[in-house]
Amino acid sequence: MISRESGLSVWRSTTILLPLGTILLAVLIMPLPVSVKLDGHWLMPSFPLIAIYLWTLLRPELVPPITVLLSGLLMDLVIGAPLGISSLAFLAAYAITLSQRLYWITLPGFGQFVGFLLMMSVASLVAWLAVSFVHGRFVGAVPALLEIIVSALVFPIARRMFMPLARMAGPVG
Amino acid sequence: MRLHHGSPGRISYSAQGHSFRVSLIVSCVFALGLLFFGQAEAQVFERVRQAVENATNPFYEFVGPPIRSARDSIGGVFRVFEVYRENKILREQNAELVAWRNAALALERKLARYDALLEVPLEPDIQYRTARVVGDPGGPFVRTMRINLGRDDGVIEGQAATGADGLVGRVVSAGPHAARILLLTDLNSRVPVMLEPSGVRGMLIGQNDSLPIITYLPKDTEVEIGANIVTSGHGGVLPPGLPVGTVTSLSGKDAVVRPASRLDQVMFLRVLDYQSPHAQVPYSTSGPPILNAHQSAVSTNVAAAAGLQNAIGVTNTTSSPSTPTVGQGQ
Repeated sequence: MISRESGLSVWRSTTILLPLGTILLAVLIMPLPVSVKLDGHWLMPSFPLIAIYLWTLLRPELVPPITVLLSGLLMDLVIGAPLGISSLAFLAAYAITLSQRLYWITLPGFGQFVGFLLMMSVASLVAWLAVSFVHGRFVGAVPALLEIIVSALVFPIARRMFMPLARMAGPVG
Repeated sequence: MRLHHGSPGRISYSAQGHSFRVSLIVSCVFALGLLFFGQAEAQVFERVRQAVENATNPFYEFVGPPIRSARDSIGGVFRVFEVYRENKILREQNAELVAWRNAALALERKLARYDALLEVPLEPDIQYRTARVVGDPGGPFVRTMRINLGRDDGVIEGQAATGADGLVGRVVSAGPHAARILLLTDLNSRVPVMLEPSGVRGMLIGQNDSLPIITYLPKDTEVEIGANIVTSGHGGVLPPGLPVGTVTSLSGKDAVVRPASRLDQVMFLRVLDYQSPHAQVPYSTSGPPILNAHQSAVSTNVAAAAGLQNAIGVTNTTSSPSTPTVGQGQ
C-alpha cells in the first residue's frame, strides 16, 4: 500500500518534469499547420519561448540550462534549421529572463508583458545574428519581427492558461 | 537554489547559483560549438535529423490533417465572399488557356518532326509520387515542409517537388518514412533557371520572403517584367522546363520572381523521380563538339516539351492525391 508521503513524493517528482514536458510539447507543435499565412509568410507565435519565459519567471529552479539547450536542439532538428541557432536564441531568452526575474515578477501583468517583449527581442536578435553568420550576409528580419508581434498577441492568453500548470508544480516564487 | 535579494533586478548567487551560472555558460558554449561544427560536419547531424524526423512523423501525420481541415474549413467561410470574383477571373483565364493549348499542341507536333529529322533521343518520361504536406516551416528563418513519404517510398535527396502550377522546391532530407522539402524561398535554396523566351540562364536564390531573386545573370542582360522562368536542368539534378515563376520586378542587376505555385497553400506535392541522361557524361566523344552542343540544346527543348507535360500532369493524370502513389503523367 502506498503511503501518503510516498504518493506525494511521486507526484512532486512528476511535476518536476512539467516544465520540460511543456517546453518540448511547445517545440513539437511549431511545425503543425496552425500558422496564419500573410503575404507568403507563415505567422506562428513562438510557443517554446513563451513557455521558457513563463517557467523561468515563475519556477526557475525547475528549468535548468540543460533543459533550454535540449529544447533548442530539438527545435532545430524538427524544423530543419542549422543546429545551434534555436539553442542560442532560447539560452539568450533564458539568461535575460533569469537576470531580470526578480524585477519582472513583482510587476503587474502589463509589466511582465513588457518583459516578455524584451525577451523576445533579444532572442530574435540572437537568432537573426546566428542565421546571418551561417549565410555569410545579413538576412531579412521581417519574419522575426512578425513572430514577435504574433507572440505578443498570444502571450496574454498563454499566460492565463499557464498559471494552473505553474501551480501544479508547486508554490510560485 | 538560494537567492539573496539585492536591489531589484540584481541577484547575488550562493554556491548553488554559481553552478547554475556555470551550467548556463557551458550550455551557451556548447550551442556555439554546434553552430560551427554543424556547418563543417553537416552529414553527421543530418543522420540525427532524419532519425528525429522519422520518430516524430507519426505525431505529425496523426495531428496535422485534422488541424489543417479545421483551418481550411474556417478559411472556407471567409472565402465564400471571394467565390464570385474568382469565378469571373477563372472563366477569363480558361478562355485564354484554350487558345494557348492549341498553340502548344501545334508546337509539340513541330518538335516531334524535328526529333525525327535529327534522330534525337527523347528524355524518358518522368515518374512521380504524390505526397501530402504534414508540417509547416515552424520557424522565422526556415522555409521547409515535411511530407509523408520517405526513402522507403522512393524519395531521395535532390528530387524536385512540384505543386499544381510549378516547382515548389526540392527534397533536402529523406528519412525512411518522411522527407523534408526545401522551398524556393528558403535562404539555402539555389535553383538553376532559364528565362523564356530569351534562354538566358541564371540562379534562383531564396531570400526568406515570398519573392526569390535571379542572380548571376550574364552582363547586359535585358530582363522583361513578366518573363516566364523555368528550370534550366543544369547540373542534371532538376528536370529542365519545369515552370518556376514570372519576373515581377528588377532589383539592381537581379530579377525578382513571383513563384508560379502558392507555396503557403500547398497541401499535396508531386516528387519527381528524375535522372538526367546527361548527368554522367557531360562531354560526348562520338562527334564534333558543335554537333553535340546542338544536340544537347535540342534535347533540352524536347525534354522541356515532353517532360513539362508529364511532370505537371496537366492531362489524364490518374493518381489519387490522398494516397501516395507512383504514377506516370500522360
